Amino acid sequence: MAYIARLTFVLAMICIAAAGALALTEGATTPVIEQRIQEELFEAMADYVPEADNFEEKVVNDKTFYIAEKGGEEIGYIMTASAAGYGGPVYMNVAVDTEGEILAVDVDRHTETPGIGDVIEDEEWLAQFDDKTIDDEIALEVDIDNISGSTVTCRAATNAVRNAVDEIGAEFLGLEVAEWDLADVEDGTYEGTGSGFGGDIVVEVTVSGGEITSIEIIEHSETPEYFELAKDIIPEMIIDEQDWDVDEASGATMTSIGIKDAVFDALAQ
Amino acid sequence: MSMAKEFSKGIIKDQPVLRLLLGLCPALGVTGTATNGFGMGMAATFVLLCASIVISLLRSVIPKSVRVPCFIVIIATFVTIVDMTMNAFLPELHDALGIFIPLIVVNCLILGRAEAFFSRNPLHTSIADALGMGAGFALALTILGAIREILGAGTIFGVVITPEAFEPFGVFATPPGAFIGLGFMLAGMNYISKKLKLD
Repeated sequence: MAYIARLTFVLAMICIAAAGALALTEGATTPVIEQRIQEELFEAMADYVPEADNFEEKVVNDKTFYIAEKGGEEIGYIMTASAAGYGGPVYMNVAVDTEGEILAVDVDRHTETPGIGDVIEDEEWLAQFDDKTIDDEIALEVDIDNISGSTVTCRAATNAVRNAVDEIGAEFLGLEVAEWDLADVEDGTYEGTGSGFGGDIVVEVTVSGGEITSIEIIEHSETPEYFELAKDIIPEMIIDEQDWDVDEASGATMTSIGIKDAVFDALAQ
Repeated sequence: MSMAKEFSKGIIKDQPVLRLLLGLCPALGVTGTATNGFGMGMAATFVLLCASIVISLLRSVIPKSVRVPCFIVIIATFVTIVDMTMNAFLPELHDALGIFIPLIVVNCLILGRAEAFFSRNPLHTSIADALGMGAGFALALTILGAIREILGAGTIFGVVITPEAFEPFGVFATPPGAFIGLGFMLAGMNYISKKLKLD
């Protein structure tokens, strides 16, 4: 018994000492870490909008925007948006001015393959976004050049920029964004496009009596074995739930997202 | 054994990565550049040193049957301190090393030395052993990092050293390159071991 008590006592003492040491270290480092993160963010934003003298944070529906101000007036908007890449989401920082022109585009973070996917960090490639505005397409191989060998990452980065521009446009610049409301869709057949792993996926969606009755994939360039995993289950789920935002098929995430986006594109107004 | 001998055995005879084959995960995972390899080596050395001091001092207090939990708590504490301190003051290195910092806790090298050496030897030889092992670990990681950085990116410690015409071998920047590089280093170490008749 005394032996067990001794074991417990020694282990407990060591744990208490460890907890004390950790508490002290945390107390000393947390303010430094938080201040550094804040400073980095502001430094990056000052880089994007050099004229600004203040940045205000604005959170809408869990999305964080930063409003660049000069003398109390809004002069630009900054946000970080993501899109699915090869190794996970690719996050891009985008700054847009009040006229809807892109001021700066930068890679925030990504987990793409080093040496292959990180070509998106190339300044020349990023410079393509600089003269774009909210009215441009901002789509890979339309007005943004692809880097051969890194298509998936380039498309993800481009789509992330597009998403950021759309979000900023909808929030601050009065851009009308397509909304999903089945009740407003008249009966008929609609075509829509989304981008999957290998390129565009085109679907034909038939609506009758206010319900989606069929979804046909009429064009795609996905890898056949992955396409198999998604091609039936995703349309079935969408018809079942009467909603485009269903779970993705495991193993075929990119293809699933492509089909979902295409259905959204077809019916959203 | 003299302290100098305790220290130097970590560099060649009991070289942790190349002779004992301990701590191979970080050796493969973070050696994309010489700086990262060196940073990881230093972080592990710091943990080894602190663990050696505390474990060696407490060696008569810690009961045999709970020694492993005690070692783990002590090691984990120092690893967490390194993690938080690095995050505060060396953020770039902290980002580059990522998950491998917390994983120092389960680095076989540190638990192995705690079990085999620190818990059985007095303070001064434990410190010599910890510094030697740490230096050997840091040296192996820095060399592997340097090889991969030169071949994979044409730089060393971030400085361009190769002529402009040099086209980097992308594979050395990726995990397979780590295996290839480590394989050649092990082959070289085996050759040296034979020559020096270490076995």
